[in-house]
Amino acid sequence: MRQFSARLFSFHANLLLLAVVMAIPHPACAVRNLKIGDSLPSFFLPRADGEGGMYNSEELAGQPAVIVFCRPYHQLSLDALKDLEAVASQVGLTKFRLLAVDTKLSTAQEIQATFADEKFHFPILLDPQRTLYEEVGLIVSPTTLLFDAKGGLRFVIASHPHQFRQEVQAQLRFLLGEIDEQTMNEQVHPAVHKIEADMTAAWHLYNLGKKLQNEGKTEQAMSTFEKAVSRYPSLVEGHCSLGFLKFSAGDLDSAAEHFDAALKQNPTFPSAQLGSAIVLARTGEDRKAEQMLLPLVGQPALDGRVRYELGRIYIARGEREKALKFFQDALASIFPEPESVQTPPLTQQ
Amino acid sequence: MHEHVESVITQHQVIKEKGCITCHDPHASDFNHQLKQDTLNLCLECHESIGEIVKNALVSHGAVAEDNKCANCHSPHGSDMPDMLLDEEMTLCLDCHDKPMDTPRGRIIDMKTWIENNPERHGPIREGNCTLCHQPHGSDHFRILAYEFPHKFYSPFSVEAYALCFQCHEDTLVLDEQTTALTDFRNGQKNLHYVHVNQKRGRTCRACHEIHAGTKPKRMKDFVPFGIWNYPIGFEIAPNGGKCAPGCHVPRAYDRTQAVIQQ
Repeated sequence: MRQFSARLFSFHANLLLLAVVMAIPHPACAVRNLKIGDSLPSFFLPRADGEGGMYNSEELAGQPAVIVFCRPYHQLSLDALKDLEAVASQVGLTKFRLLAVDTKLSTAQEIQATFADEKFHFPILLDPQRTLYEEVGLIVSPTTLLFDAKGGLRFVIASHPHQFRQEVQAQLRFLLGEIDEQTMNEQVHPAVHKIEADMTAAWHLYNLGKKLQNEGKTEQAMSTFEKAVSRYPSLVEGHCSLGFLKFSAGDLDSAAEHFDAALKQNPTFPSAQLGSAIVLARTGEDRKAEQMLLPLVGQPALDGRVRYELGRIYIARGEREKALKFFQDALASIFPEPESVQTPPLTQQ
Repeated sequence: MHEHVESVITQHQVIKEKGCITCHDPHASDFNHQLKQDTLNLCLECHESIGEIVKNALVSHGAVAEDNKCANCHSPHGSDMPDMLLDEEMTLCLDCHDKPMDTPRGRIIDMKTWIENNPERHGPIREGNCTLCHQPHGSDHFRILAYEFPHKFYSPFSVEAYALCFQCHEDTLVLDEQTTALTDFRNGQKNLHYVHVNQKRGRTCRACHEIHAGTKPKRMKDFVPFGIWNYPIGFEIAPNGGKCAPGCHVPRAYDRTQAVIQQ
């Protein structure tokens, strides 16, 4: 159980790590000159969106800010701007600052022509000397930077990935204090966390199945294990338990299927290897079974059964001495004696 | 099934709007799962624009034509993934691309192992966004790339020839002879991407960079295959620049703050 809990914890940790890695692009790669925690370089840039005048970076102070570097006549940039407009509408544009900065040395006329058909309610700035571009160290357009209310860089999104809108919205709401980090991650990658919920439910079912099995309620246990693997097909332990129950019920084909399913998920899972070898041995493929069993000798919790199965194989081949040795070692493994007690060998005359 | 369709994040709308018998024959059928037609033809009846891509593509994707066809990647009833994918995009792609594959146009490497072993990853890889560069239904470009990209070592430069890269990267990265903003690969203000790429016999991106993932900064390659030889690149990064000792030219250094005078 401890081993399963450790695996479960490790899997959860890996899943969370995956969600975190995918949700937060590595800042040193997504832009060249800023890293997480850095402040936005100050700037004073002309507006290109018809309002005229200049925009001072000091206007960003005191609230979270989203700055997207983009270019005109560029589909990915346009998609990003539309998504940001939608996010602003959902979250409320009074709660944060949003602005776009041109990366293409465009003129105000070009910007206005490009976005003539769009209704963007945020400033679009020009960067005529590419000074901000250089200070940030942009690599691609669009690049979206999210800053907290103190002006520290918190998130960077390069280009326009599929999950752009939900990512920006979740990260912004996190910066606004409306949601916590876990909720943010769940919103950025809902499927990752839904899969996690399925896995948790499957583990509950598996544990129940083991309890029923220990109580001798074999049919109920089998049904519960089947629900577990149906809920989460990657549950290796569930497949193994089903495999052994099916084997006990005489259904070798079904047993083999479950052991194969387990091995597909984890080719080195000892229980699955043992189960698969047992089925192979019963179906006449003793050489293959032997090859699978020999590396498992000494495997904790399985050693007795492994040695017993090898003993059966050698007996069938007529290798009596070898078989008896394995049977004796199997018994010793299952019923260990204190070291001070001598166990007579089975082969003694 | 009803419970599954109700519970997923992305539902196949045709089920709710038109019902199961849109796709399934409730009595009997010649096709798996009692579908009314072969999977691909059935899906493309509605998804016409995808059908155009699949039918007209010069380079096809095996996943579309083989085995379960559309259902190799998409869940037809609904799923928790965008576009009703069976899994997260890159996980799905690497489910198949976890072994070398021989194709009529050459070998595709075991991409899963490659990415696992190479921690310096290209942006789309970090985002798990394979379809930013590849068109999974088929395309007119090698390796089912979504846009034009030179597949040879040398290529005369044009913005159109590098349309794939310039989806995201600024074309001025290669167009501008002098820069301080566009790239760190410069000797003073002299843009070394311009020097290498913007030529009649320009070196393509792949001459020096790993496209998907590498071990070195900037995903610089260790060596570049050139005919039957492998030329070492010998790239070393420095605080304000770097140097290369490739098989292409004598060792040369560059420095952004104090241009190195080449001998």
